[in-house]
Amino acid sequence: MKKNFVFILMLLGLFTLAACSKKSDSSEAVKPVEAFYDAIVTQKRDRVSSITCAAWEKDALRDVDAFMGVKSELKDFSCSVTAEGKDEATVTCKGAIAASYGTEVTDFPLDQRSHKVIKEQGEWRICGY
Amino acid sequence: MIFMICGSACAQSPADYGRTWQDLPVIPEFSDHARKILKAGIKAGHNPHAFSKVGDCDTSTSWYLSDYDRDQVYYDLGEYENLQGVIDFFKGSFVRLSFAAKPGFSAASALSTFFMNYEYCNYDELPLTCEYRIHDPIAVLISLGTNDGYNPPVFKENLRKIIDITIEQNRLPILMLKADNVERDFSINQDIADLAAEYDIPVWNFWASVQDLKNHGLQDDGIHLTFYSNYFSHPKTWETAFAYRNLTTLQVLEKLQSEIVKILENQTKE
Repeated sequence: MKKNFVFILMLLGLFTLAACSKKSDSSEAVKPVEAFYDAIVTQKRDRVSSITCAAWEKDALRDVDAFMGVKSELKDFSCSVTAEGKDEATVTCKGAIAASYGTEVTDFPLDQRSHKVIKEQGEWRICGY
Repeated sequence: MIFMICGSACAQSPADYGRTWQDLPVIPEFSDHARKILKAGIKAGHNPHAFSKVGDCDTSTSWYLSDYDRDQVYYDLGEYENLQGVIDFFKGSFVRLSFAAKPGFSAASALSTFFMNYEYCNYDELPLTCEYRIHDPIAVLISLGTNDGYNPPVFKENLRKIIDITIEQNRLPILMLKADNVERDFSINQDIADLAAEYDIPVWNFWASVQDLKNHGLQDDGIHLTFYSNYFSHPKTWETAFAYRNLTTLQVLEKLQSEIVKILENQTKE
């Protein structure tokens, strides 16, 4: 009986470890996507090269520059991993970029975008949407 | 620091920075290459009576051209009555809200999917290409650069991409030199003029047309253009920049119309 109890405890511990490890991987893949949107609203172009894959860097910079003429902020924003492999993950986000020009505010919803994230040089990088 | 001390009070000119674009004529002549693009566009079936607008708040505003598609109580052409033919020829394009012209637009915005209107546009399009598909213009008036003033190095590359896409689709890009100098060294108009020369496409020197106005036709913010009305017979109208913006646009379109009519007439003869 005691043996069984110890075995069940060990099993529970393993499940917990596995779950935690899965969560940790997920949050890592989410980071470049969150950083990308932060770069857009803070207009920090210099951050783009460290969070995008090489092939998509130019496109990412264009998206940052697209918001150059407006003031923007993230509204009700959060991202999560919807699929994850060893070197590739898909991240979706909720919320919107709220861009204002004078008194006019326009929301750009982000929930229709599925972001491709890949591992490049051992780090998760956003590589398109 | 120099700029902070100097501010907008300093009477700086493009020549002080070694610029050359300021001497370009207000209304450009169309080159053989421009005619070739128009001819290819007509052959491709684009609407010879349609133009599109690509630009920022000074383009998307109802002050710009819109009145010409409304009842004539909203405008009069004064001594430029001959331009009514241009208004009739391009009817429908003046009031149209372009998918590629919005407040705050930089050159990059016209190429970014973030600024798409998915109610009308497809997921594989850009604001620019969506506008072209839906309106199918033979020519495109491109008035950008003011919102690129904070990051001039990327402007030329993005404008180049806009020109490439436009010419690839056999539509004639017509560029405009802006009135402001938000970048402080007049470099953006130089980029625009250089690209116009490189691609051998028309560039209209709107900047030159407003130099005699108070504050060069700019509001106190040094960015937005001044406006009074679209009654050209009213003297006060000519104290503000939009009178010249609308007049010079109509004059550019007059040139465009003349080239299109020639091509269409030759087609009929052939």
